[in-house]
Amino acid sequence: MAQEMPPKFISPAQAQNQNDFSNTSEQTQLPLPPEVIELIFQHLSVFQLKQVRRTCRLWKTIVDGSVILLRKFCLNLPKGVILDQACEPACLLSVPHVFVSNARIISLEPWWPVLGENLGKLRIFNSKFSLPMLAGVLRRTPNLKELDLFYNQYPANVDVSQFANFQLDRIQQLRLHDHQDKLIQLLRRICPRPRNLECNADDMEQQIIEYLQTAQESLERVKISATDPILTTMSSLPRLRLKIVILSCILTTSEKMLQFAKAQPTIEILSLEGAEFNNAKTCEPRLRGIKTQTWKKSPCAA
Amino acid sequence: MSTIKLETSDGVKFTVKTQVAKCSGTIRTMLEDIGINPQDGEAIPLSNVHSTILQKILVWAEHHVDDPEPPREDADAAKRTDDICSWDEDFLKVDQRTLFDVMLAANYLDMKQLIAVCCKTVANMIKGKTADQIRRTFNIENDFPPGEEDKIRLRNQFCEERSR
Repeated sequence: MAQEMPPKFISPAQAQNQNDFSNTSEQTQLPLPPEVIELIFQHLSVFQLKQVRRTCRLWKTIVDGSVILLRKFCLNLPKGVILDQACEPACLLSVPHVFVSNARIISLEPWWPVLGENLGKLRIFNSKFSLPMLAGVLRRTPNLKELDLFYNQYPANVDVSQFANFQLDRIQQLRLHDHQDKLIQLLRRICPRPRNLECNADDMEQQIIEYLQTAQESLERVKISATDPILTTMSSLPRLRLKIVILSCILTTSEKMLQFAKAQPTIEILSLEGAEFNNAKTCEPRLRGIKTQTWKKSPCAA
Repeated sequence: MSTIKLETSDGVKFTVKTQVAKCSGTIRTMLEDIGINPQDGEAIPLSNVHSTILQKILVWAEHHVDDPEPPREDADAAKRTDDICSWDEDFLKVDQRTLFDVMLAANYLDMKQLIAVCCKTVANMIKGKTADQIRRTFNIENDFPPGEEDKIRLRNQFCEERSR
């Protein structure tokens, strides 16, 4: 590299003045374009990004508007939080993952529409919720892919058909650990095409059967209790193409399970929780290609 | 050995090895796609880069000219900032103004590896600091309306690292 004779000598100080991008003598902001500032922020943890959001308006805007940075966050609305009309959406980050536990939700406006729009995963845990309120929550999450409902309480005696008048088409995974028949009815109407359904409520047999019938074309993985009627239903559904079946809580015989495995030839993995499969592989040639996983947990109440 | 001429915003002309100049994606595109012929003796104008900064950047490019292509990074993966090589560390021991000017020029010249190492350097200046300390480090004005920062701090506590 050889530098030709410059037209005139420029001292570094003069050069800096000539190259000054800011108009004021005192710099009040990094003289970098937002996309470069975002590149810097990609090296920071959520802990540090929280400090960054408090630094100045521009930096907060950059974090809040960056899909890549927001992917690092989940919003955890913890115990005791009361979400009402005073809750300002501008203060909450519109992140792709929201976990709600023990929260009291009084009003969805104005904060929830802002959060719900881009939400990919929602988990509600240990909270009290009315089903119309849950429907209101889900109505504003058009991009939701995963929904977990664990150990919530819902007042019963509502007619779900009244407010189940919309569908979430992008739902891929539903995990339900809530024993409420109306809830399962509601979700069957709102999310009729999940790929992955987990339902841990063995006392909701009829509702689970109806859900399997509705979702038979989309389901690829299920994790459910193995009762006679559920297995019989799954064996007889013409458009069911399951790949992975996890049977939690075995309340049936190994003969029934064999019949089911024969009737559903697309199954690649059959996993049994809390039960042994009595040499099923050797007595049933169909099952040789199936990976059966058995392990013992605490015994199920059979 | 083939060389090309570059002309900076302040009218200084540099004669540079073509291979070194091609560390810049912008110059590479000009030469390969647009078909600017360096043999013509015409200098490529770099209207956004000052001579003091270009000189510094060319030192970096000369040192890194034989570096292998870096592996593609997963955008979601946690990015390390403790892997800056000692040569780069010394190279970037400059005042903030120069550091930012190098970043601006590297951005304009599309030099991804130089931008990356600069970003790591600035990220390390942010790490471990409170919002107030960050503002003082970079001389940033707190332009939130009164009370706003407290609200953000309050809501910030709901945000957590996403478990993978």
